Amino acid sequence: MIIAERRNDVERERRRLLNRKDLELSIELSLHRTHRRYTDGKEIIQVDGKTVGECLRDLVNKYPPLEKEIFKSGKLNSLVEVYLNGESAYPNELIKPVKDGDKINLVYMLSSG
Amino acid sequence: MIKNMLSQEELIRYDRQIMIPEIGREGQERLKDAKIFIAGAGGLGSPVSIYLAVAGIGRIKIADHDTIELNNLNRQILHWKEDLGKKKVDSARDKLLRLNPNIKLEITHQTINEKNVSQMVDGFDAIVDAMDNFQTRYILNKAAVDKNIPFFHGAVRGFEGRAMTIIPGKTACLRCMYHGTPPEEKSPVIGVTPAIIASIQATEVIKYLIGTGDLLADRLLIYDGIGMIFREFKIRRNPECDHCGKKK
Repeated sequence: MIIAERRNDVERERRRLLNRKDLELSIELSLHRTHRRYTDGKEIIQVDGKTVGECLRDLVNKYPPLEKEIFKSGKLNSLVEVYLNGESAYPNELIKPVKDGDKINLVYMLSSG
Repeated sequence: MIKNMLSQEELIRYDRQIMIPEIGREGQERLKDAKIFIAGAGGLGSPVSIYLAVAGIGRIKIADHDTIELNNLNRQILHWKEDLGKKKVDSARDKLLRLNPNIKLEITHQTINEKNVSQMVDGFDAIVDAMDNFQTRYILNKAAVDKNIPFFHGAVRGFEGRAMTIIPGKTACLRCMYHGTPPEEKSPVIGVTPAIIASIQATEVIKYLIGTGDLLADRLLIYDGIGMIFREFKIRRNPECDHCGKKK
């Protein structure tokens, strides 16, 4: 009897967690320091999408002022570097597929010396 | 075959680094035997040339087209107030030979371009990227790939910097990872940032010359001084790369 009640408690907790939006798996996007002024200083943003491009679209939907930093004429700004799970996504970054739990780093190119 | 034997003075001067097992007397002789081209005598070029000179690199050539201005002095530590208005390469030669008179130093007061780069870097064992713009970096990258000369990339801005080592035909080159050309600008920077990145570049050059350790090959190291974090990203050779794609 006690074991059955425990099972019910566990099941209720499982269902509660499954229904929590904030616990859904998504893609973790880490912003470069220069871009964090558009996110109130937040570095990590959870985004959704099936490709890098969809994730970046989700990002700019959440933070519209980032659009002009990340995209130029609808294409990825050539000064923005994309790393997917620690690896350069160049070339054709926007069509690279992503899955839940992946990590994207956006980095801004440096040129001085 | 090592050509340059070490003098008694050099054995004493380099004693503390000869004690490092990875260097030893043979490694020190390799450093003396080496010829390094440094592109730039500014924020990165100052510390990288200082550390390579005092490490005993036998022959260093520095190319730079600039003269010294007061707002260079927060980071370009080869140049002092008394040098204002002088060519950076003249100031560099003066200071480096005072730091280590045992090395051979060549300078060239020229802008590196597609026409002169091949002749400028010919015969060197390594090219150090201490440039302040990507147009010239790409020219150097192409020359390094074409002439099979290892290329040691560095760049800085503010408190942030990055470094990567390119071994032509074996590892990713600059064009495998970069496609943009940031606009030339008066860029913010504090001297400690190029000091860190140049020290990493010099370490890579020394390791390459003595043939030890793991290089930053196919590895982009990004330093964030504000967060005091080093991040590393994997870079793969791009078979379609316009500089090294056809290189074997």
